[in-house]
Amino acid sequence: MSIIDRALTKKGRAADPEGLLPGVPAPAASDGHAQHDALDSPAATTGAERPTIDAATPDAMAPAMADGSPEGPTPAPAAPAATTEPSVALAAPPVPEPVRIEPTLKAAVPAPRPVLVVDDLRVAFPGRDGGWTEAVRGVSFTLGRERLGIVGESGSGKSQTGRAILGLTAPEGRVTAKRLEFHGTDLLHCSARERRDLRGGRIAMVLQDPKFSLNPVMTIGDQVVETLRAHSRMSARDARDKALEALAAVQIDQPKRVYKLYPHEVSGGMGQRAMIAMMLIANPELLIADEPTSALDVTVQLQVLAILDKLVTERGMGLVFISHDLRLVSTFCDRILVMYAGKVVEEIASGGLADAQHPYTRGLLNCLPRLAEDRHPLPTLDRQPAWAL
Amino acid sequence: MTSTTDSPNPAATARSSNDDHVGLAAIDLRVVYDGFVAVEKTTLHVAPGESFGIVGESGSGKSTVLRAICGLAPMESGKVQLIGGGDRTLPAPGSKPFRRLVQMVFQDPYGSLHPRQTVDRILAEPLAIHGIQDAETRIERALDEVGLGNGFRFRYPHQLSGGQRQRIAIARALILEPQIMLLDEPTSALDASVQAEVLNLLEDLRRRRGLTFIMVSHDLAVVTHMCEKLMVMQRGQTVELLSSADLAAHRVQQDYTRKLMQASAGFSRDAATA
Repeated sequence: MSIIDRALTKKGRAADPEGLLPGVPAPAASDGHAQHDALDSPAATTGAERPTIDAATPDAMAPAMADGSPEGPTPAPAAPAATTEPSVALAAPPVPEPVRIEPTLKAAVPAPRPVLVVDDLRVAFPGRDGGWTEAVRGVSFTLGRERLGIVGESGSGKSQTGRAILGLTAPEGRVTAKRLEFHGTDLLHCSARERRDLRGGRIAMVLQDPKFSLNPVMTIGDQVVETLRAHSRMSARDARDKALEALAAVQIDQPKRVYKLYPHEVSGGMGQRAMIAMMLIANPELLIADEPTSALDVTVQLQVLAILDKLVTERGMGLVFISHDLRLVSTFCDRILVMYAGKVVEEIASGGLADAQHPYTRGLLNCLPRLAEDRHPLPTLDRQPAWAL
Repeated sequence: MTSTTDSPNPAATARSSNDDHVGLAAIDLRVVYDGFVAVEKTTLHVAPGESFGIVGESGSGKSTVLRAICGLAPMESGKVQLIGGGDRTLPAPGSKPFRRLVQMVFQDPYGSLHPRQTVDRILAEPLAIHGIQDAETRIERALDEVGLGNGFRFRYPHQLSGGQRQRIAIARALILEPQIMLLDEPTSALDASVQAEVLNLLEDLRRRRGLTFIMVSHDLAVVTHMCEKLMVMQRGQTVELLSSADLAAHRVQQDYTRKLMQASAGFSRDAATA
C-alpha cells in the first residue's frame, strides 16, 4: 500500500461509499468507462436492483455461448439463483446460465453482486524529473463470476491493473481510483492487514513465469502448505493432505513425488500447475492470472486453461485473465478488454473478435501469421498517436 | 527433401552468385546429455536458399538440433555437412569458415546480448574474431539492414526494446555475411505486432541475400508463414516431415501433428479434455 492510500484511509473511508474522497483527482470522462457507468448505476441505487448488473453480463455473453461450438456443453445452470430473482430469469430465459452460486459462500448473500468493481483505476510511477508517468489511465470494469480477459502489448498497463487490484504495486507507485471494491470491501482504503488477509485468501494471483515466481529454496509442497496455513489454522498433517489434494486437482500425476521436489526439478508446465494449486488452495473468489500460460507449450497451455475453466464453471470463481495473446483469450474468455497505452480501447464479447471495431484491435489481429493464408509480407501495426490520447 | 526450392533461379541462369548458395544436411543426429537422449535419428536436408522449419513442444529436441548443427551441443553420432555452393570446397563443421557461414539467432533477446557492451561492441566482436577489417562500415551497414539507424550504435541493450534487441541479434549474425541462418524461436519473446516486423525483416533479408533458414518455433502459424518445409518433432524424434502447403491444407499424417494444429487454434473444451 502506498503512502497516499494510507493518507486516504485516515481521511475516513466509511463516510464515503463512492470512494470520491477529497484529494483524489477527478477523472476525465473517457469512452472506457462510459459503458461501465451504464452497468454501474443500478448498483449505486439500491441493493434490490443489483441483480440486474449480473443479469446483464450473462445476457451479453449468451449469444456467444449459444453459437460458439468450442464452449461445449455447459453444466447444469444455477437454478436457485434464477428463481430467487425474477429479473435474472427474464433477462436470459432459455440459455444455460453461466453465473453460478458458489457452494461454500461465506455469507449467505441473497442477490448476486459483482465480485469486483473497478472504476477509473489509475496507477502512476514517479519519473526521474519529478513528474509522474501514468501506466494505467482510468480503467473501469465490473467483474461477475466470469472469465474476463485483459489483452494488450507489453507496456499497455494490463499487468499493472492486475497488480493494483491485489495491492502489489511497487511501493513508489501511486494507485488511485473512484472505486476499487471486492465484494463490497473498499480495497483502496482498507488497512494493510485487511489487504493481506484478502491477498492469497479470497483474491489470488497466478504470476507469469513459474521459474521466477516460485521460491527456489522451498519444496513445492512446502510452498503450497505455506499459503494454506497463512489463511487458516490447521494442523501440519491436515495441511499436507490438503496440499496433496490440491496438487492432484491440477492434474499432477504423482502429487506425493512433486510435493517433495524443488521448483528447478519440475518442468515449466508442472511449475505453473503447482502455482495454480497454491493459488487455489485457499478457495479464492477472485483469481487474477497474469500471463499464466505464456511460458508454456501450446498443448500444456490447453491443460492449464482447462483447469482454470473448470474452476470458473464449477466453483463460480471470478477470473481476470491477463494475456498478450488476443487469439487465445478470445477463445477462452467470456469478455475481453483490449488495452492500449494504459486505457481500455475496446470491449469485445467472446466470439466477437471478428467484429472488433478499434483499429488497434484489428491491427493486432491482422499482424498474426495464419495457417491457411499466404501473406507476404505480414501487415504491421501502424500506431496512431490518437489511440493513446 | 532436396528436390525443389523457391529460389528464383534453380540453376537455370548460370550466374555464379546464385550458385554460391549453401544448404545443409544433417544425417542421423544423436545428442545425449548424461544418458538422456535429447535427439535421436534425426535427418534433415535443407536445399540452398530454402527455408526449413522445426516445430515441437519444449523438450522435443528442436533447439538441440540447431545447437548440434552449429557445434553448441555434443553430437554423439551423426553427420552435419554443407551442400551446394557451386564448385568451391565447403568448410567442415566446427571450423572457423564454417562458423562464418552458419550463424545463429537465439530465442531470448533479453538474454543473448551482453548487458555491459554497447551495440557497437557487440557487433564488432564477430568481426574481430574472424579478422575482418572494415568494421566501421560493416557495422553501419548491418544496423542499416535491420532497420536501426546509426543512432542505436552506442546504446546498451537495456536502452532498447525487445524488438530492437532482436534486430541487434540478427545484425550480429548478419555482419559475417553468413549463408545459413539458424533461428531459434526468434520471435517468441516479442509482442504480436513486433513479431510481424521481425518476421518481415527476416524474409526480406533472406530474399535479398539468398539465405538458407532453419527456423525453430513452437508456433505452427509462424513456421508455415516463414518456411516451405517443416519437421515436427516429439521427444527427440522426428514425427513427420511435410510441406507448409500440406499443413495449411490439413493434409497431415500423424495424430501428434493434428493435436498441435488443434492446440494452436485456441482453447476449446473438447480439445482440452481429449
